[in-house]
Amino acid sequence: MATELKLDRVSSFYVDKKHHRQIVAVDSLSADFTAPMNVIVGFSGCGKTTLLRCLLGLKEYEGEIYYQQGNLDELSPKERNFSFVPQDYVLYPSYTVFDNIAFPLRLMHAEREEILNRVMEVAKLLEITPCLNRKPKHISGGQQQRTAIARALVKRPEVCLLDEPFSNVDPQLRMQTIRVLKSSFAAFGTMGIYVTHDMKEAMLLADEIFVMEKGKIVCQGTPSQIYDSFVPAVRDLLQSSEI
Amino acid sequence: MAKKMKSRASDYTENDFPLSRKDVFLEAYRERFSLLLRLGLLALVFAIPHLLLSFWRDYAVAATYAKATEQTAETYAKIATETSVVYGLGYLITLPLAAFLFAGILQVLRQLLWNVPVFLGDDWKQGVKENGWRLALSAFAFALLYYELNFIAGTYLEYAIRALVLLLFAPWALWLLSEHYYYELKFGESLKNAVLFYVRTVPFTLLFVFLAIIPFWACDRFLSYLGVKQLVEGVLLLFYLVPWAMAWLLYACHVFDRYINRDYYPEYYRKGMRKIEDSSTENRPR
Repeated sequence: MATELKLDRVSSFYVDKKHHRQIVAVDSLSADFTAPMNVIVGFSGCGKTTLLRCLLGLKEYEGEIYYQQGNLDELSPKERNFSFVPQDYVLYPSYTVFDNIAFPLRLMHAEREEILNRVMEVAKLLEITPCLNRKPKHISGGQQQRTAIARALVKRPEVCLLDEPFSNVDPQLRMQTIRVLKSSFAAFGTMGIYVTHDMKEAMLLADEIFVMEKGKIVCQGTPSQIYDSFVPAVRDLLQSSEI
Repeated sequence: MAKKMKSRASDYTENDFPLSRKDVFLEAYRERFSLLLRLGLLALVFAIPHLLLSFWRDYAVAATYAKATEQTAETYAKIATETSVVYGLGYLITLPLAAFLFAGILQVLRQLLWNVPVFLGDDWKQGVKENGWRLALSAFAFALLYYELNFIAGTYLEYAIRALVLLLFAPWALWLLSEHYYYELKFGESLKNAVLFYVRTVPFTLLFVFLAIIPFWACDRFLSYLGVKQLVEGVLLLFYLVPWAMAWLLYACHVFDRYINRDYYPEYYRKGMRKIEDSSTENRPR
């Protein structure tokens, strides 16, 4: 069964205590995520990361989120079989790359053989097998990022949320890692929801693009549809990414 | 905002693996120091029964000496000998027990030196399961000999036996036990191989045997203050024994590569190190 995540008028707020006001981060947003790789693109402050946090169960929201025809609220963050790749990797510096990737499986009390097989499988897909016994500080930034992705994929999640994972990776490596990312997600049948401010990345990676502005989806479509769109927010993003 | 993690300028690849055994040793120390410390702590914990036994012996002898003015020298010597005999009997239990549990530590070290993922608990258990009884048996034989030496103390026979243990039994046992961490061998085969390996590597093997025994012998011989000897032995177990074992396993790997692995076990050849083309035929087995 294909993965389906449906958002129905989802809103989320932050309270600005200093100025005694409520800031709307996500404003009555409705969207259907069904494609293998969904990319949410928008300028900083448009609510992309807040939306991810709502999906992860880390932020309160109003509205409904349906996951595989059931209400996501009925599942705790642990039960959702989602995984997350944060912007700054959050690798454990005292663990080896192997131990970092194996961490979710150890939390699930998986057997040694299962841990070994799954970590080797995902490391091979992401091309980080040589550095499994090294600590994160002894590998490159691109390999660190792939380690974070491997850790997210090792428990074979149904949905993987990525928050600007390549913002710290240099452009040359970014293309290589994007290719590896797409093939890894396809191999595991994981649906990706990828957040970025870079339209170039979105165009290369996405099967479906959602353009976000001021907490709302203003445009949605395939990369070619987005490219041909005349929505001002889309044109601004394309221009800023020098497309 | 979280501090950005340090990283290498370029990808870490197989070409960056250590080139020599010395590099493997140094890299293990640099990168896995906390694991080595944990293994040292385990070695110390496994040796606690022996350290307590040793402390009891020293205490019993010291207590007897404190009353020496009230007893004749003959009585004192008799009590000291009886204490040593009881200690020897206790040694028959504590040394094999420590060796049995130490077998797991060697398995973990092997995994570390092979550059394969280490599961501390599972690898330790596997090591104990596969080789614990071999180490325990060797340790029992050593402890039994030590016990028997109590009855011929001070004679030329005692010194002859000690020399035999140091120059023959210990080196041969070291090779015999090491083989089983790498290969599945029948007992007869491993006995024969151990002799051959020792004969081909006498200076280095003896060096490793002396490096293992001398620090502990020196503690026993020269440290007389009650408790100080056990404290120093504890420090040696914590910080010295595991690096010694690591160095020995690396040397054993080097010898196995030279005489066996290149032709018969290519998957083990230079395992954990950078693969290089070696066209030299000088060291090929005949």
